[in-house]
Amino acid sequence: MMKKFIYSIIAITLLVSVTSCDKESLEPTLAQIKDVATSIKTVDDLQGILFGAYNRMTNYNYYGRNVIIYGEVRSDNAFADGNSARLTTVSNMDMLYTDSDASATWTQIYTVIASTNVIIGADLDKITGDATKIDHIIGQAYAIRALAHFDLLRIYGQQHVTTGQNIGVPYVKTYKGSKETLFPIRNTVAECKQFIMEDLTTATSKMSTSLNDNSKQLMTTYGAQALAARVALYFKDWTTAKSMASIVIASNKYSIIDANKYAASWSIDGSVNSIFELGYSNIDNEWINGLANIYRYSDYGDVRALPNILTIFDDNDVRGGTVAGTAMIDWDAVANFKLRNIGKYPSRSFDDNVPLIRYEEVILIYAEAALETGDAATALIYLNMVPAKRGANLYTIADKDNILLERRKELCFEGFRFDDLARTNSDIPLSDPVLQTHGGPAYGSYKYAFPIPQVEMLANSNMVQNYGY
Amino acid sequence: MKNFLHVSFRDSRIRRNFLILMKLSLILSMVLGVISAQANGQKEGTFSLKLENVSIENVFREIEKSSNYRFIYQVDDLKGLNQISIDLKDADINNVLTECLKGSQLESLIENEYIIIRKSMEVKTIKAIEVSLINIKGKVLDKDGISLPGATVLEEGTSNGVITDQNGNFSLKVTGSASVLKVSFIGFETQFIEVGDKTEFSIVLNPSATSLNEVIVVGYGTKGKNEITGSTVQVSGAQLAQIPVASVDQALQGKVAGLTISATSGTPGSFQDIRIRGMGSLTAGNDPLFVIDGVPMISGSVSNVGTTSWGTSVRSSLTSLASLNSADIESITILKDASATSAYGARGSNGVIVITTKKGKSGKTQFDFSASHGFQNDATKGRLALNGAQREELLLEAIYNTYGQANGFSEAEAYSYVVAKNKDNRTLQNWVNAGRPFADWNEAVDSKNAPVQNVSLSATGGDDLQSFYASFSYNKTEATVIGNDFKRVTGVLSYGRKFRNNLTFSTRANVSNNHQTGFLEGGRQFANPRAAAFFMSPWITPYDEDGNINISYKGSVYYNYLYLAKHDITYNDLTRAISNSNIEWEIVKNLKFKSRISLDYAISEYKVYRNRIHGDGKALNGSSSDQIERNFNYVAQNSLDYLMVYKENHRISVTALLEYQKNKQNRLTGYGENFPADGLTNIDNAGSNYQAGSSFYDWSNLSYLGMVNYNYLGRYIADFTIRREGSSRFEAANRYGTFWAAGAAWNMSQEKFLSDIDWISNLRVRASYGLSGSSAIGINGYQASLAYDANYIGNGAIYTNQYGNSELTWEKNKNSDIGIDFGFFDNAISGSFAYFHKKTYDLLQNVPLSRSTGHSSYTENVGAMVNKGIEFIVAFDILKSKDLNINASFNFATLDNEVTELAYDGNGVEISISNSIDKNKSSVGHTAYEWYMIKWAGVDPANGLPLWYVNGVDGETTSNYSIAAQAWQGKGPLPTYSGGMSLHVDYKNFFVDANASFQGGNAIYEMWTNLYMVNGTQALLSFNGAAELMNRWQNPGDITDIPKMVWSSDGNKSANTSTRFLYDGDYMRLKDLVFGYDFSKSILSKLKINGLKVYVRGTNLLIWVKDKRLKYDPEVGADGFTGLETPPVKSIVFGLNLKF
Repeated sequence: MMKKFIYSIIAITLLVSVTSCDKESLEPTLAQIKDVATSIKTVDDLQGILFGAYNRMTNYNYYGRNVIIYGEVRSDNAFADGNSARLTTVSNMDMLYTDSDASATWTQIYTVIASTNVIIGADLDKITGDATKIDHIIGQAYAIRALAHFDLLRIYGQQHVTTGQNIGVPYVKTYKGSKETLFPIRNTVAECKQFIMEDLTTATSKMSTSLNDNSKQLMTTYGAQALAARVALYFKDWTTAKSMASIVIASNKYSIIDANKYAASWSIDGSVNSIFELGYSNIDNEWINGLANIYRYSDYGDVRALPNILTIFDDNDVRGGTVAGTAMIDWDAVANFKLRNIGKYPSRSFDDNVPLIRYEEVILIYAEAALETGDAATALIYLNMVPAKRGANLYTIADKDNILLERRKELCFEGFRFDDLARTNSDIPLSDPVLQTHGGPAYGSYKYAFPIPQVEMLANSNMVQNYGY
Repeated sequence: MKNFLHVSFRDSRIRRNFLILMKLSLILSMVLGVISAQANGQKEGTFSLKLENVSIENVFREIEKSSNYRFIYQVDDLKGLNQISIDLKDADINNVLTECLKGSQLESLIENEYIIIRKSMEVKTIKAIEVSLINIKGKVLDKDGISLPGATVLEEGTSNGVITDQNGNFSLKVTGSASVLKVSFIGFETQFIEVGDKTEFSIVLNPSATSLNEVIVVGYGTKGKNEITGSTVQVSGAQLAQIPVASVDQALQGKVAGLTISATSGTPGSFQDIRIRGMGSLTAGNDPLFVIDGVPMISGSVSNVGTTSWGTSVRSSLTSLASLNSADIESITILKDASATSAYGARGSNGVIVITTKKGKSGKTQFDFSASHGFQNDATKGRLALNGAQREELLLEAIYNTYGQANGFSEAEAYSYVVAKNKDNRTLQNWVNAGRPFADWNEAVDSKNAPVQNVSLSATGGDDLQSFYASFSYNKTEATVIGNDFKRVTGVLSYGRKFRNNLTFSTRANVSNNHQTGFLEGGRQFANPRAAAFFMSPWITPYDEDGNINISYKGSVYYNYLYLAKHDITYNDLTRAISNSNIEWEIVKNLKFKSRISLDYAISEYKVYRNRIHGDGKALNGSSSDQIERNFNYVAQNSLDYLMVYKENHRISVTALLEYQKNKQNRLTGYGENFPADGLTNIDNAGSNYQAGSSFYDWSNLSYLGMVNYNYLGRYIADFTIRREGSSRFEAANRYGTFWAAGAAWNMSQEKFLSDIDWISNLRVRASYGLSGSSAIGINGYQASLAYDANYIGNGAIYTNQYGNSELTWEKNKNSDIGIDFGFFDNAISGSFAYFHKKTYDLLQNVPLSRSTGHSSYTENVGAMVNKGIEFIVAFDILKSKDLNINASFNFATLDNEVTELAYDGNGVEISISNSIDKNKSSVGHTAYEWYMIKWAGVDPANGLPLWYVNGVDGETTSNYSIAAQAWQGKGPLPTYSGGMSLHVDYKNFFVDANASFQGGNAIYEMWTNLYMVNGTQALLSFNGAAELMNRWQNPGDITDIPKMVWSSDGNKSANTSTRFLYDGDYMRLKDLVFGYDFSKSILSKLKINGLKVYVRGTNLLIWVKDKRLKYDPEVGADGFTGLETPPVKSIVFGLNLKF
């Protein structure tokens, strides 16, 4: 009996011996990720998340390539030739609700917003560090949130679709908010505009000019104000556009780049005309998905300039295609019948920063706002500041056409052209019906907005599809 | 079959050991009516016993105590015997037994250490008629030439028979030359042999797939087939060994009802989608659990590296099962229902595949050598691409159709218009100017008659104390496309030893290296050689005029794959070492402790080098990346088994088991660019742009298992299993789940009322019900987390990477199963029928989130799905005779899958799940991922424009794709029925085996048609069209499915997603056809070898496809998409098998 008892003890001891079944034995190791709730504790953590937001902006579905290209191939500047089937549906302005570009950009921009909302919603009581610094970070987050929503709005909003009833995009202000935020509704265009401007105002008030980053790779007070000028211009709020632009101009921090430095400035980080640019190092983008590749190179170089654009530049304009050694637009060296943007985003190693706000834009915003508010004389002065430093002829009058023309010359291939056409209620010009496959949609066409991606429609019954899709 | 198992087991060890069970079945078959035998196998050792007035059982127990002998008897036989007294000194065992049984009606039989006590009356009956008989003798062997001790040799129609001795020999007196010998042995097919003039016989038995007495490997042990309450199918290693596939799972196709295997790629060694009874989960894993020698293993792909491009993953996969050599496998058992899988707990919810490897066999060392050599080609051709002249014709036609009228030129003048407007980007012009050189890219990438070879050598042997099995194998398989091959070497040593009478130890080590070179599949363009024909322009020649690979062409963005195959490097290299050790200790009688430790270490390397001269690496001056992944998996199991016998007839066995599993995965990656010279491919030589990455994950599982099995007289069987399991994949509070199953079986044919019906040899019903679960989601999936692997301007960046759900817990399924097993006419017809119903609920589901959250989905326990169906297996012995044997089997299964519940959004609207939004959707009331797309209505004969149904069903049509509606197509990607058939014929020494499999009821979608079936410039300029485009509409009234050629990139969206490219998935395929010759014993003995067999095997020789529109192989991955992956292969293999 005793023997059996002892054996039983041995048996049970053996049974449980290998598995010291304490709780830790089932706790997974978090080696390279951390828990959200407990990991934001210092100003450095906030700073890291802010860097994360910037990093998400560099993705090729956002400013790394596509959002810039969307503004070009839907215009009279460029088109996608389908060489490797990239961006053809955008270029054709013939998208379906299942379009993968529409879905990828929507998704990517909202990840940026999520990052900013983690910062904005952080519990400040639990974060250690200098309060001014924390505020400066939070201010940047507000500015980026505004920029991201503005980008969504101009791509997906219904403000230029005649039957679109002015629906905008969901303006998201919290990360993982209540259950309702899982199924947001689309705010109106007016609400979106209001929220964007509010966010930019908050941004400016939270940030300190003394903490503005000199590398231009982070958002600054002037960046937020320049952005406010851009948004105001888009919505024809000329007074705000003018006042915001004037603050940036008055800062004396920036200047228009000289003609002889213009071409080289595209390979230089933080040049004098840059207000805000996204920092890229050579590991930030797969080359095949980069801007340089899609504009410049024969393999994967799907986005070609339309020949018509060569005709808008004066002979000595450094932005055109005829100035020896500094040509910004030229025929492809391999297949010489393809016209290409070779001046902007030139480096195939992808370490060129991508400028998002340049001083020249602010000058032209100021000129346009001045014109629209009845000060044509000032407008002309500001309008001519740009061509004066480009080797181009000066304008004799400041009218809307000249300002838009100068914007097209200065900002071509940077993603502004479609919005300039749309905000001035213009049709998409058909300068080359053979190469431009969109057929020149008229202003107000449903094609002026992207479809709301089907993945979003399926996940959220509050979402309303854009007219026409 | 009556009174089967009507035995009281005095020794629990019998239950546990396969070999002993074989012997047990020997004994049982004697109980079943075999009545004469010779005692043999005397052991050394004598007995001195002095006992007075004890029961005979007590005497037996004394003998068991002082020796290795174990007694087996029917309890009833000992009833009513007088108590005996015994007084012996130095007597041998025979004397002891004689003394014990003196005066009883019993006799003894010694079989090694087992002593069988049984009634002796009938023996005497036979002795009485002995005089008129003729003497015969012989030997019974298995087909490997190994003698079969314990086989039954019976004179048909009489009860006259013997059991073979330990060398497989027998001698018997039979009534005359007209007598027929019936030779049977458990696990083998019964043979009938006419006595004729012969007096000496060498009888070879073939293993049986349908034997009722088969031992089935189940959860943590083995059981007799009649003891099982669950739904299982066992496939013997012999059925798998010779099938020339790189990984053993591929060989199961068509052999098991309810199991479907779909190849994600035909590239040797690549991962297979295996589904047992359909798809239990929408977005969590549906792969079955693999158990090797009692240990849950890491299966899946060791390398799923690749990028995502245009929404499809460009991948390269290598299944970890490729590390096993199929010749080392003893059997594979498929466990399907709750009762069978419950021992493996939650992870068994998608079914369990239990692989048992070969162990050492006692006896003289036996060598087994097999070699095969063959060649293979694509089983289906697929589509051909347009050649240069065809493409020119279509391009000019498209130009004329679109611009001719408006610009006033004729079709003949189209070329001039192309030149003038440079519509072709000079590609056609260059080709025309070069004199239209012929180019065939289909041909260029094809590797015809790719060799496949397999060599393996094994040795097994041992003695009473120890045994071993050792093997070595080498496999080399080239793919049917250039640049891909697979090589494997394996080495196995399995060793077992008895430390003490009650302590045994066994260990097994399996080390293998697998090397798979191959390009990324699944995507399009350069990475995939299969795609070359559709992406390379036929106006560019693969080789230049000097015969060199052409890399100097212009006007194409695509690279010459031939150059890449030669100068780029892509490989997966997996080295895997598995060690599995096991110790068994019988603490006291009927109480056994077992401990098992398994260590599985896999190192895989995935290397990619892109050369400096041509291709993706050119712009970077060469690039190289290397990924090293180390996976360590540790399983420890301790268990206690206890066997209780209550009132003689009630046998209850109880098992308690603790299992802990931990898995660690460590990954290190490196990357570099800019190589200083050709021929250097390692990162160290890269000049710039170094990048490094790492990842570490671990997960663990802890389980407590209890199993009770009750057996009454072998008639009524009941079992109950409960398992409490904790997984690190859930938050601490929700970590544990409790799962259980209950099963019962009634062996009706054991009952008196059926035992008199001769033609029923076996009839049993079984049923089971249970709750099981799944945790097949990502590691750490419950956590709302921040990731730190990003950077911005040189600073570490943090981002939200997982939405998280702390409430996440086990997915559950309720599984019921009812089945009947039958065998009629001495099991000449046998089989089983089962119905199952499996409801999965609290699905671990990736619920799509509004992207405005910054996340695309999160995991929730929501939704439910039902799978139900029937399974039917039947096997026939059509003819059994000395020279000619024919048998056939057939299996069939149906599967009805329906989603019954999904997540709802804030407005109560169902959130449907899709993996390709314009093609499929999972919605309540429909089958999972049912096809949901726009419906094609053909080509308008009047104008050649494509048409679709406006409402997606019928009626009004439109040529404007964007206004056509998506609609349900009634079919999903998973087959609703599947099955297989096999036929075996042997005539004298020749044999033929044929296996076919079939499935259908599903639909499959052809992936890349939106490129190569476009009647626009994508197919005529950017990519290359398929040859079918030549059937395009040309003139009003033309009836065709190919629209008019037009000059637009997408050809009026005619090749966008629609039912135009959705096909019925029904097919039937001749999987295997083997023809062979098994050399007779007389030749073998002259050659002094034990066995020699030669055969030729054809794989995938024939296929019938229901939907003639389908040009690609209907064997596709479980998602139902057919792409440009390597299709299954058709092979012819010559082999030989030698035993000595």
